[in-house]
Amino acid sequence: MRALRNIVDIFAAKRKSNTLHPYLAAVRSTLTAALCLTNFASQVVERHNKPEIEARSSAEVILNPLVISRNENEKVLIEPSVNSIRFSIKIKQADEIERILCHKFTRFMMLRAEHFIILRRKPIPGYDISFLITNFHTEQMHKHKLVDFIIQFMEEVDKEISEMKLSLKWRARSVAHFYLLQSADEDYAVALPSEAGVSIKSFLILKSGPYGSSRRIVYPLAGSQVCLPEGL
Amino acid sequence: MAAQEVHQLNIGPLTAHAFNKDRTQVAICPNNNEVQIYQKTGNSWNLLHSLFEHDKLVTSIDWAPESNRIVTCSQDRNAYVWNLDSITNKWKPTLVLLRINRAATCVRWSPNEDKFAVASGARAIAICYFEGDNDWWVSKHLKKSIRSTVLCLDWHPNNVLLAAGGADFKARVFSAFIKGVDKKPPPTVWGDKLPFNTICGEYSNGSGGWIHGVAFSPSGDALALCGQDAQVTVIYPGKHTSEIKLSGLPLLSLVWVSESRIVAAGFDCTPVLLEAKDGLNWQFSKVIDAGKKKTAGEATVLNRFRQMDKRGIALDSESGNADLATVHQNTITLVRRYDESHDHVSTSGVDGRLIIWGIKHT
Repeated sequence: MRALRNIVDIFAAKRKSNTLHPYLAAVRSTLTAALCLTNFASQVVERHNKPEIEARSSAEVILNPLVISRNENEKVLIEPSVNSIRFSIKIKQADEIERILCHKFTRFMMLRAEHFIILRRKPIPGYDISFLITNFHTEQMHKHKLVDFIIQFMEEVDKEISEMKLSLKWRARSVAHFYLLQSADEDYAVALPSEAGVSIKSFLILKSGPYGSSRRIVYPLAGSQVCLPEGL
Repeated sequence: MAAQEVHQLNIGPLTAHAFNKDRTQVAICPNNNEVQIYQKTGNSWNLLHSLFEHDKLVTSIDWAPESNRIVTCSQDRNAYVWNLDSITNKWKPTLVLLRINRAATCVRWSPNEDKFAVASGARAIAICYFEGDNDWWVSKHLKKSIRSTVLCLDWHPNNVLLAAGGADFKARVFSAFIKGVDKKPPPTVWGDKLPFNTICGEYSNGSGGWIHGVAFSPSGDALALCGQDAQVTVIYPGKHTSEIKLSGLPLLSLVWVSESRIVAAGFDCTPVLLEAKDGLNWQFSKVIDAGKKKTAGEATVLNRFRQMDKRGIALDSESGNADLATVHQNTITLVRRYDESHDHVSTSGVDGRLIIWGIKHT
């Protein structure tokens, strides 16, 4: 029992310092409450049955949208209606690289939206990825599992992007390393990047050759190089 | 106590169910344009008839106990009255002239079974009655002040008043008096002069929201409504209104089992019982299906806390069992009275299960 209490304390202490838990808990309970969907045929178009949150044909079947935000860079938008909800996530993007990675990653998923069933093909403006869940989805799938999936997605996507960023950095570092190893015997001076990483998009190699010295700017990721004549 | 019978009649949702008088047969819709009639043999159900006439989702079914007629309505804007042909033993459809141009959402026979009401997305309720001269079912529309889809209906025991709730956040009590069909009803608490299309009352639930279910009490003197705000409102017209706030998710359907007890169910996948202490003071009584407790081994405790910490969930969802602890595995969309003694109710839902609950014994 005491061991159990200790575990509880450890996790409670950890939780206090971590704002992710209350954020995800708030998203979870809001999603659970918003996912109360019924089969609702269109009251505007005959014999149609469309997600009202997308069709927006009648105001009374759409509920107030709700934003849950952890900070200015991370937030979710939940737009409920009588037969569908739209759930949009703004993924944390600290710098340019994360922005590119996030764009590539969400684009990759959204191009394959039919495999993800609840994924929307385009995000809502201001958000990076959107889900559209209709009553037909909640009929086929357990609601609590759908919520689990979204929470897990929110958690994994941050991890995924920071992992991609790390591997990108590692790749840049190793490319630079091998390049410099290869050219070390012929080069006199090398301007080493201060930090081997993706923030350095090019580095400079000073070379003295039979035709005088020259500077080369090397783009390790693109694999191309530009030779600049002396004096530039 | 095994107080419930569980029948899995479909893998997908059941959009509606209705029992016949002696409850040996049940008509259901397996979430498509088909109506299936099952016969009970022993403890299982055998498919007797499949009725194909609608061409879109069948939204509601009602079975008149005495005249043994079925009425079905669908999102294809039509309603059919089905009569059993005793010679061929087949159900014969009769099209009803509904004159609505949007989906029909709910249909109920009146207590005397001489008319029925069809709620629709056309902001109207069609009151249908049989016209012997032309040999078909014709309808008159209740349209007054309805501003959105009508989602639910219930008849008053006097065969004239009709309660309807809808997506315009209001529940209304209408007079559906049809000249030539009804005799002048005695005065009730809802009013004494009741020509067709009189609104006897307009109510909303405490926090607003769509009204998913309405029900008159057995005497007809009170009306209960439930909606998207997870509240049940009980109205004694001119006297008293009681609001019962529930802690769970919204309710979709409710039924009175006596003058002082209501069974309601919805997105929490379990029916709840509400009781009136000393007549008017309504309270939440209990959850009828408390659910089986999930046991967690000692070794998973750490895992569970890790889960709670990482994702903000309380249950260990990675134990592999995705099932809910309740008997219904998904939203309950319909609660109906099962027998005249009010000891049982039947529920059906999105999980395809039809469950008969004993109310007295739980």
